[in-house]
Order: sequence, then C-alpha cells, then structure tokens
Amino acid sequence: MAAPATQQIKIRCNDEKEFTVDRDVLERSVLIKNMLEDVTEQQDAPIPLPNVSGPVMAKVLEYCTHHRGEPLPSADTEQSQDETRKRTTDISEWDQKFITVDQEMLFEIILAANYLDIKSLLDVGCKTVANMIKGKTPEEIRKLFNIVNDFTPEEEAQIKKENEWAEDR
Amino acid sequence: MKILSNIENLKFGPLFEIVHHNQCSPLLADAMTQQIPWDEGGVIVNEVFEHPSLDLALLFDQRRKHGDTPSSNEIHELQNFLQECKDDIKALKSTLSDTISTISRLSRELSETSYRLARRFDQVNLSEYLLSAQQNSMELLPQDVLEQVFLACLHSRDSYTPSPTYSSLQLASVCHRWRMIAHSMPKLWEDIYTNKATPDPPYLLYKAWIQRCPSYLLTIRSSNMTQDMSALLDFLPTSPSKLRLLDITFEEKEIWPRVLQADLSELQQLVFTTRHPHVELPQSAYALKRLYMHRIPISWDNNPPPSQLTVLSITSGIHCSMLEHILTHCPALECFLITIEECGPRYSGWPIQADSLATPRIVTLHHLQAFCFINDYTDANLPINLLRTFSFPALTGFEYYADNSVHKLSLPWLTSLDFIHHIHRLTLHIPDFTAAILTPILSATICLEEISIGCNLTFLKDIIGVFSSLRGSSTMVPHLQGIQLCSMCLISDLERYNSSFIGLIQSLSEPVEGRPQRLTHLNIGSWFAIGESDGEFRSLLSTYKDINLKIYKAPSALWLYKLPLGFHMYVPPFNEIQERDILQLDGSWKKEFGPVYRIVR
Repeated sequence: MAAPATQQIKIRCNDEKEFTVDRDVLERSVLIKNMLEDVTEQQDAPIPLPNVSGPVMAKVLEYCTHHRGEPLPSADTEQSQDETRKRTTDISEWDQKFITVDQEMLFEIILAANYLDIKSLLDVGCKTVANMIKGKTPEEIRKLFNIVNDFTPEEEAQIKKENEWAEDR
Repeated sequence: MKILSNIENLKFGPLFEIVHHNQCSPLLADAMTQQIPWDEGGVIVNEVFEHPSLDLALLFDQRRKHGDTPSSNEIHELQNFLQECKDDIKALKSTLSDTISTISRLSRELSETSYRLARRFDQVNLSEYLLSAQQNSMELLPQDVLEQVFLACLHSRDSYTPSPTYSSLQLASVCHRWRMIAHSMPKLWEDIYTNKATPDPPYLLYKAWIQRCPSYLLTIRSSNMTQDMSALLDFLPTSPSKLRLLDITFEEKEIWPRVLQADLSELQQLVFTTRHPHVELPQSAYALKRLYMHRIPISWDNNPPPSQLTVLSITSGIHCSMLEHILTHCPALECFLITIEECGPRYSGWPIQADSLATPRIVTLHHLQAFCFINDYTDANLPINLLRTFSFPALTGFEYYADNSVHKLSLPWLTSLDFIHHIHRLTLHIPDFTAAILTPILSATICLEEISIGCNLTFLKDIIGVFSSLRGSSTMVPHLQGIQLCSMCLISDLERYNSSFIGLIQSLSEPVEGRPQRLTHLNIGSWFAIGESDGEFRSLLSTYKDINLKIYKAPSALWLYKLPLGFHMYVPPFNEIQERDILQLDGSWKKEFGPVYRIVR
C-alpha cells in the first residue's frame, strides 16, 4: 500500500506571493499549526500571512524544511530550553550558514519567526544578534545598528559613573 | 570752484534725486573736465549742475559782467526754485529716514530669516537622521524579542567576552529604549561580578542594582582579596533580595562573620576561598546545594556540612575520620571533588592495608555520580586507600589528576574497585601513564563511553596504539565514543604522531562487527600555548570530517579542561565541550600565556 500523500497547504504573503508547502513543514509554525487545527474542512483558499513578505517567507520555509521532523518544543520543555539557552549562544553549523544574511533580512526573519511563532528560528535569530552585540561598547552597538544616542549630557555622565567600576575588560 | 566748494557741503544722499537732466552749461562742462574722481564728488557735481534752474543762476555771473542784472521774475523764479529745492530736501530727508528705517528693519529681518533658515537646515538634517534611525532594524523589534536578545547577550560569554555585570551595564547604556527595557528585566541584574581588576562598586550602586531585581535572588561573585569590600559587606544584611550564589575570596577573618549576617536562607551555592583557618559554615543556608571551599583547613568536627549538599569540593587538611564525618553528613551528594595537598601527618588514619579487599566500606554514597580526585600527595597508596574506604554504587564518572609520577603505582588497583565496572566517563591525567596501565583499565571498564588521558609525550604513541587495536576487540570498551589525548608538549611535537592519529581514526571511526559504537569524538591537546603548528593537523582536520575532531593548544591540559565545577566537574561530556569552555581561563593565565586558541576546521 502506498504511503499517504503529504497534505499540501497554500499560503499567501503580503506581496501576493504564494507558496504550496507540505503541511508538516508549515506546522513548524505554531501560528499556522493552530490555524490548520481550527479548520475542520479542507480549504483551497491560501492562508493569508499579512506580516510576511515573499522573500522572507522563502527563507523561513528553507529553515522549516531543513528542520522538519524534529520535535517541537512543548510547554514542559520550555523551561529547560531556557536553561539551555542560558548556557550557550552556539548555533549549529547549518543554522549559522542559513542565518548569514544582511542585517535587514536578519531582522525580517526574526520578526517573521516571532509572528509565525517558530521558537527555534527566533532563538537562532536572537542569538545571532546577541553575538553581534557581545563584546562591543555602547557606541559600537549604536553604530552597528544605526541607533541614535538620545541621552542628555547629564544622563551620559551618570551612566559613565555607573559603568566605570564594571569595566572589566 | 566756488560752486564746487558749496556743493561739497551738500549731503550725499539727496543728490541722487536730482537726475535725468541732460542740459549742461559750459561752466559746468569746464568743471567736469577737471576730472574730479567720482568718489570725490565729480559725478555728483555733474548731476547737480544738470538742473536747468541752476544753469540760469550760473548765467547771472556772465550777465553781470555785461551790466545785465536779473529781472525780478528771474529772481523770483530762482527763489521759487530754491524753496522747491528746500522742500524737496525736506521730503527727501524724510524719505531717507524712512528708507534707513526700512533697511534697518529689513536687515534685522534678513538676520532673523538667515538664523531661522540655518535652524531649519539643522532640523532637516536631524529629522533625516532620526527618520533613518527610526528605520533601523533594531527599532522594529518588539520589546519581548529585544528582551530575548538581551538575555542571549548575557549568557553568551567566554573568557573574551565581558561578565554578565558588564554586559548588562553596556546594554543599558545604548539609548533610552534599551535602558528602559534593560532596567525592566530583573534577570539582567541578578548577577554582580567583580574581580581583582576592578574596584568594588560603591554601596549606592549595589542599592541601585538591587532596585532593578527586587524580587530575584542574587548572585555575587567577588575575587577581590586586596581591595576594600566594605561596600559589599554593608550592603548584604540590608538587601531586600536574597542571595542565591555567593562566590567570595577574602583574607581577613572579620569579613566572614559579616557575610554570615546576610539572609542566606535561599543560598544555593557557596564558593569561598581563604587562607584563614577555622571558618564557620553558614548553618542558616538551608537551601545550600553546592559548596566549594578552597585553601581552607576547616575544622569539621564541630562544623558539619549542610546535609542537603549535592556538590561538595574540599581542599586539603582532611584525614580519614574527618572525611568519613563529612560524607556521612552528606547522603545526597552527587558530585564530590577532593584535592589532597602535601601535608604529611594530616593524612594519618587512612586504612593501612591498602591491598586488603577485606577493608570494610565505612560509608556508602548512594547518589554519588561523579568523583574527582586531585592528588598532590606523595603517598602513592593514598588514593586507592581512600577509594576503598567508600562505596559508590551509582558512580558513572571518575576523574583523577596527579602531578607526581609515583601515583601510577596505585593505578592498577583501579581495576579492582567495584565502581570501575559501571564507569562511563574516565579521566586519568598522570605524567607516567603508560600503555601497560591502560590495557587492564580498558578491559575492566566495560561501560566506558569517554576517556581522557594526559601523559608524557614519550608514552603517547603506545597509548594511541592501544586504542587503535580496539578495532579487533568486541569485549574491550565496546561503547567507547570519545577519546581525549593530551600531553605536556608543543603542538608540533604532537604532530609527529599524525600518522598514529590517522591510524586511530581509521580503526575506530567506522562501525565494525562486534563493536556497537564507533568513535565519534577525538580531542588532541598540547599543554603549551607557545609554538606553531607544522600544518600536519590541518590536513588531518580537513580529511576526517565525519568525526568530531578537535585539536587544542593551551597552557595546560589540566587547566584547559578546568571548567567551573558543575555536575561534570573538570571534563564535560565531549559532545558538550564548546569553545567558550575550553577558553575558560582567568585573567592571569591570559596575561601569562597570551591568547589561547584552538585550530578550527
């Protein structure tokens, strides 16, 4: 007997780009998984994803396809995973290669992962940003992310005083 | 010239009103031919004398020479003209005054407009900058995502990244938004770390710190022995937060009682280093699970360790009955580390008949899973005597470190100990460790999954040979997955055995019949940071990619794997070794040896 064919699901991004994807791949997203579970009858209409663009969704699907079949984090494992996250910012070789994109795309992926509720991808994104930040001075961080220093001179002086004892590098 | 001299008295401005008259008298023409420069009134003269009435007046002079007097009409005409001129002058002066006033007003307006324009330009530039900043990607991240990034920053540390304390402060110093978010995250402020390189934070900063994590438990690490700790000690008893972890180094006796005044009811881990004897253990620390004491010849007889301990590390000053006393009080112990220093008579009381299998087990530690023994004592029988004294039915990890070669004598006894049959992870770092010692150990450790050997370079080749020969054996360590080999040598010395390492990999990296497990991890380490690779290992690394192969170069293999004591003590499972662990050396080591690094693929 032939194995049952994997159900194909259509999604539509905010730029009208459509993808037809295996259900188990899409179900890496808790948001889509819940949506699919709420729908009892099979629908042909694509699932609208108004917060994700086509190019970003393509990257997200690349990630989900690579990690398909891996166990999804359950509520019980959340806490232990938090502990694991504490201990490491290491990212697997594949994930590292996957997330090596320009800054704009990196943040788009993080936002998409957050919206679609893909914890492992969000984790990879946050760790990548953390690795970009770590070891840098506030000024270097501002420069890296184009952040405006909006402290007043008085606040700057207070911060400098607060920080001077902890400059352990 | 008379006229000219009069004209010179005229004001400059109104003369410009007397224009558009083209008639010119001969006298005036003469005056003009004198080439008076414009700026000395030449052109003005020209304009004044062009007026027809003035021409008439000038003619009076010529007519008087001929006895021709001006008629009353002419005089009247001239008087009218004079009056007209005066009126004009008055009107022109008024116009001039108005014009000057207008110019003055316009000048002010120009100045104000220029200023406003410049401000507008600045505002445009700033707005564009702010707008671009609004468009920066970081601004797009919602607060909960940024919080995750911050937490990842906090825990992404190795010896080259700052402490959590430093990271938290840096994050809170970027901009208002980051500061607000950082200050709203108690987790960022539950760890205070100071070291020798930095002064202790003043009391007010401790207070500010606590305000950011009012309901959380604190971790305070201070290795500051020489500087004033009064701020910390003043702070501890008044802290609304409770201490979770305290790691403190101190020299003065007076310090410790002040530490004990703090609320230690939630203290889970205590690490303290001091040379001061007779330090009292905090009996109020009911939650204390992990206790690490360094350099303390503590008097244990009247000072039992808390019974709920799961991890205990003690150093020196122990004799057998005292150790029995300690361990009897810690039935829940899962991880025990003991460092025996050269103290001579202190070690009286150990069982004399070390080789007697009939030696009674005086203590059974039912939950002990990891035992780490660092032996700097010259009595070769000490470790085996100690190990015979206790029973460890749940032990799966055993680590033994010794600098003195006489300890190899005691190693064969290892194979006769009960726990050796259920050991999964074994670490033996002894200078004179030889292949002859290794073989019986491998025969006895049927459950072994990982082994770490540290020895002189002389013996390394034979040891590699023993491991390579395992391919043909289905009974010796059939579950072995990871091997670590390190020696006190340069990386280039290790490279001389490159072909032996290749043989080892080829023998064990493929599954063979009778051996359910293939080798998945191989660590090779040199003890010296100096010296460069000859390149042999680079080709080794690039050739064998299906085995997790790591080659380290570090000041000392012992230090290389010296991790903050956790459940796995010194050597973690190989698949958990990360670069940040390997590089976990303190500042003094970094300064002495320079950067420690590993060769990466």
